[in-house]
Amino acid sequence: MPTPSWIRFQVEAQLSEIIFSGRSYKLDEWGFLDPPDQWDRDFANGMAIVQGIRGGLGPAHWSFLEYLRRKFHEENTIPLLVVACMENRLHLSDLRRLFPTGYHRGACRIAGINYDFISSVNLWHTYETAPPAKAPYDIDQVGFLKDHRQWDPGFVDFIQQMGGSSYHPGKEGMKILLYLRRRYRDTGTVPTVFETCTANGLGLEELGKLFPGGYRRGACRLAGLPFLG
Amino acid sequence: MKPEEMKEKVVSSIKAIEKAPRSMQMYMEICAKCGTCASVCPIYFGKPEKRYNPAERSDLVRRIYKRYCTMSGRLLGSLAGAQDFDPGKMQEWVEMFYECTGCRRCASFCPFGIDNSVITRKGRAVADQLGLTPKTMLKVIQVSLATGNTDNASPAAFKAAIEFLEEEMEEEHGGTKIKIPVDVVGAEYFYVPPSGDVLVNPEATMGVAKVFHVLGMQDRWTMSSKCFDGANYGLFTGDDKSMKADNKAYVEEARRLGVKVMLMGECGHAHRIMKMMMEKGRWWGDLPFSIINCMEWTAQQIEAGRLQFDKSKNAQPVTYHDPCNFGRSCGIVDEPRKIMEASCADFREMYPNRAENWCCGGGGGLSAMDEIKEFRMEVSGKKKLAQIRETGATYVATACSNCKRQLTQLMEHHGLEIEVGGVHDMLSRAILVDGKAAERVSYD
Amino acid sequence: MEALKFLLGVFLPYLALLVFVGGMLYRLARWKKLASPPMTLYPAPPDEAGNLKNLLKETLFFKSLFHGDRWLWVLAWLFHVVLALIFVGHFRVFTNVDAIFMKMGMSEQAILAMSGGAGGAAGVIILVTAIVLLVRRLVVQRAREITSVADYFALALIGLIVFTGDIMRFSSEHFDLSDTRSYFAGLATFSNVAGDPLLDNGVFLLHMTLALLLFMYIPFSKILHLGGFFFTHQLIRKN
Ligand code: HEM
Ligand code: SF4
Ligand code: SF4
Repeated sequence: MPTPSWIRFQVEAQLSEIIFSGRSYKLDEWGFLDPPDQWDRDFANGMAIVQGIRGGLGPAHWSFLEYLRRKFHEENTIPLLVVACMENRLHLSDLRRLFPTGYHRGACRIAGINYDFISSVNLWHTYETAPPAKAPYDIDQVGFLKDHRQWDPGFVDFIQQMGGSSYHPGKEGMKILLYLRRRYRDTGTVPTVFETCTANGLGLEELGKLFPGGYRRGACRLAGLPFLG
Repeated sequence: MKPEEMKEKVVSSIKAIEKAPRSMQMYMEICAKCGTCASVCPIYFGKPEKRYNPAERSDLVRRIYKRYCTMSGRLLGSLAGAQDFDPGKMQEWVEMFYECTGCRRCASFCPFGIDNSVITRKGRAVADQLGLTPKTMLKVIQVSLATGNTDNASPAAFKAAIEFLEEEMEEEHGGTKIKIPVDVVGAEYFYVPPSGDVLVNPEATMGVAKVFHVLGMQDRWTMSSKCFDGANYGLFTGDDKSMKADNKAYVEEARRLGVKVMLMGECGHAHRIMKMMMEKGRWWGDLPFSIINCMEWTAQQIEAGRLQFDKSKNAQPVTYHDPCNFGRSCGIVDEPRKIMEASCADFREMYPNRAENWCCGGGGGLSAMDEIKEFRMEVSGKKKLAQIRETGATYVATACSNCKRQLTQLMEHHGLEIEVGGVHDMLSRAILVDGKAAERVSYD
Repeated sequence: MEALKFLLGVFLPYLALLVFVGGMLYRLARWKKLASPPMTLYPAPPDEAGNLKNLLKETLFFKSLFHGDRWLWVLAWLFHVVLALIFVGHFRVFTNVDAIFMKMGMSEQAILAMSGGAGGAAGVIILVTAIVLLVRRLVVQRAREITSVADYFALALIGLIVFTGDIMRFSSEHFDLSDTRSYFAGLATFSNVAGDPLLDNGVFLLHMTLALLLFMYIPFSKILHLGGFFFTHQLIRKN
C-alpha cells in the first residue's frame, strides 16, 4: 500500500496556471499567485475580473491593494481583516462593495499574496465568511457569451483562460472587436467578414492573422456576439 | 533522538495507561475488532484502507500496551495481539494519529461505546512528548499561550477592533448605537468567542451584541481585552499541561471580572473544554459563575418571544452543520436550529444530523493543518461534501471556527458556490433593532 | 490415561472456576480503582433511571450496534441470545431443574420437547452464526484487515465447543443427563470423581475441556467485554 505521507501531499499538489493579457501566471492549489513575485498590474486586472469586479479596478481598489502589498513586502505580514478596514477607513460594507469575494479570497488574492503565506501569518484569515467567486460571464454550450451586454474588455482575457491559450488580439484586434460590437448594437446583426474587412481597411489575410481562431469562432466570439447572430 | 531513547519514552508513556483513565484501559482490553467503527468513521468512508481503520489506528497503542502490560501479551506475543514498538515507524505513527478528527462518531455506534478519539489523543500525547507534534499545531499553541489568543492580537488591537465593530453596527442600523462593553468589572455575562469571530468574521460578535441591545441588557455583559479567544489547541495535541494553562487564564479572568455567567461563543472545542471538561472535572474547584453557550442563551430569548426577525434578509437556502464538539460532546443541537429557523427563510437539514452528524473532516485540529490539505479535501471531508451538496443550500452555517475553515476550503477545492458562515452571523443580518433589520450591503 | 482423566475431569474444573472468578474480580477491582474524568457523549440520558434504561437497551438489544451496522447486529444479536439461552439450558446438565419445571405444571414430555426443540435449534443456530461470523471476518474488508490470530481463535474455540456439544446432542447414542448430574454433584461436594464413568466419554471430555479453557480465557481476552461492556457504556452515557 502506498503511504500517503504529508510530504507526498505537498509535492504532488496540483499547480495550475492562468493567463491574462498574453502572460501566464503560476497559481497555487487554491488559485492564489505563487510565487508572489510574478505579480504585475495585468495580473491584478485579470484576477479582478475572475473575482467578480465588474468594470475594472478603480482608485479605491488600487489604494487598498497597494496597502496590502506594502504590508506584505515591507512588514512581511498581512493585517487582520478588521485592522485592514480600520487602517483604510473602510466599513465592512465598503470592503464588500470593492471586493465581492471578500478580504482574503478577493483582495489578498488580487494583491498577489500566496495562500500558504496568508495561512502562516494567521490561520483564521482563511476562514472568512464570503461568497465564492461566481463565473464572471454566462457562457453557452458552444462557448459564446449568452448576453452580449455582459461584455467588457476582460471578456477577452476570460475566453483565453478558458482555452488556456496565450493568444491576445492586441490593440489592433481590440479595435476590430469594438467595431463588431458597435455594428451589432446598431443593426442587431453580425456583419459579414467582407463588411468587416472593408470597414476597417484590412485584407482577409490580415484579419486572419489578427484572429487565428477564425472570424465567427474567433473575432465575433471574442466580441461577445451570440452564436446565432 | 536515538531510537532506543525514543522507544523507551513511548513505552513508558503507554505503560502509564495502567494508571491512567479507566476508559483507556478498558478500551485496550475489550475491543472485539468487529469493524463497526470503520463503517461510521468519516475517514474510513473517504478511503476504505487499513491505515484509516479506527481499530487499526487504536491498535498502534493497543499492541504496545499488550506487549508490556498484559500477561498474555508478554507470554504469547503476536498470538495475543501484542507487538513491540518499532522506532522506525514513528513518523507513520504521528501521521496516523493526525488522521483521526476526534469526532467521536465511532463511540456512538460501537457496540461497547469505545471512543477511539481517546486513544487518538493518547497517541498524539506520546508524539508530543517526543517533540513530534506537527509544526502548524505547535505554532497555534505557542501563539495562544503567549498572547492569550490564536490571532496574535494585542489588547490594544482588540479594543480598536471593537470600536470599529461598534461603528459598523451604527452604520448598519441607521445611527443606533449598539455597544460592545470591554473589561467591565461587575458585568453579569462574559462573552468568550473564538477570536476569529471578532477579528476575521466579526458578524458573529455583532450578532451577540445586537441580542443584548434588543433585550436592553447592553450594560450587563462584557468581553475581555486579554481573554477573547476560547480556542485551546492543547485538547488536540494531547498536551494537558498547556490545555489547562490556557484554560486557567480564562477562569481567572472571569473571577476577576466577577461575572455570573460565562457565555461561550461559537467554538465547539472551547465550549467542550470549559463546560464538559473543566467544570465537570472541577479543575479549578468551585466556580462562582455558570457556563452556557451563546446559542443556548439566544435560543432562550427567541423562545420567550423577545427577539424579532426579518427572514427575507436571509432568503437563500441554508443548512446547518453540527460541529461534533457541540453535537456529540455537548448536546447542543436544538438551539442553533431555533436560531436558524427564526432568522432564515429556507432552512434545510442534512441527514443524518445532530448527534449522528458526520464530521466536517477537519476536527481534532486537522483543520489548521494545510500540510494534510489533500487528505482533508479528498478523504476526511468527502462525506460532508456529499451531504451538503444534497441539501441544495447555498449557505452552510456552523458554530465552529475549525469547521468553518475546513468547509470553506472544501467548497473552494471542489469548486462549489456555497458560502460558509456562522449562526449568529445569520442572526445579525436578520434581527430587528428598533423594528428594522440591518442595512447590509451584500457581497454581490 | 488415568492421569489425563484426573487432570481434565477433576483438576481443570476447579482451576477454571478459580481463574475465571479470580480473573474477573481482579479486572473489576482494577477498573474501579482507575480515575475516570467525565467524557459524556450525547444524547445522554438526563438521570440515573434513564441511564439504566439505556444500559438495559444496550444489553438486551445491542442498541448502538443496531444503529451502526445492521447486518452485524442480526448476526451478533442472534449469536449472543442463543449463547445466553444455551448457558441457561446447561443448568439441566448440571443439576435436576426438571423438578422446578414440573412444580410449575410441566409434564416430563413437555420438558423433553422443550429441551429437544429449543436446545436443538439453539445448537444449530449458534453453530451457523459462529460460522457466518467467521466468514464475515474473512470476507468483509473492514473486519478482515483488523482481525488477528486472537480473534480467529476466540471464534474457533466457540465453534469447536458448539460442534462437540452438537455431536452429543444429535448422535444416535442416547446421552443420559443423570450421568452428568451425578458427576457435577460430585465435583460440587468435593468428592472424588476421577473414576466417574462419564469421563470415559471422549467427546464429553473434549467438550468440557474446551469450555473450561474458554472460561479461563475470558478474563485475559477481548471476550472480557462480557464484563467491561457495562462500564464502557456508563463512561460515555453518564450525564
Ligand atoms: C451484552 C453485551 C454484549 C455485546 C454488545 C456483545 C457484542 C459482541 C460483538 C459485537 C462481537 C463481535 C462479533 C464478531 O465480529 O465476531 C462479540 C463477540 C463475542 N462475544 Fe459478545 N457481546 C456481549 C456480551 C457477551 C457475553 C455476555 C459473552 C459471554 C460469553 C460474549 C461472548 C462473545 C464471544 C465468545 C464472541 C466471539 C468472539 C469473536 O467474535 O471473535 N459476549 N460480542
Ligand atoms: S466498533 Fe468498537 S469493538 Fe468494534 S472494532 Fe471498533 S472499537 Fe472495536
Ligand atoms: S473519532 Fe471520528 S475520525 Fe476518529 S476514528 Fe472515531 S469516527 Fe473516525
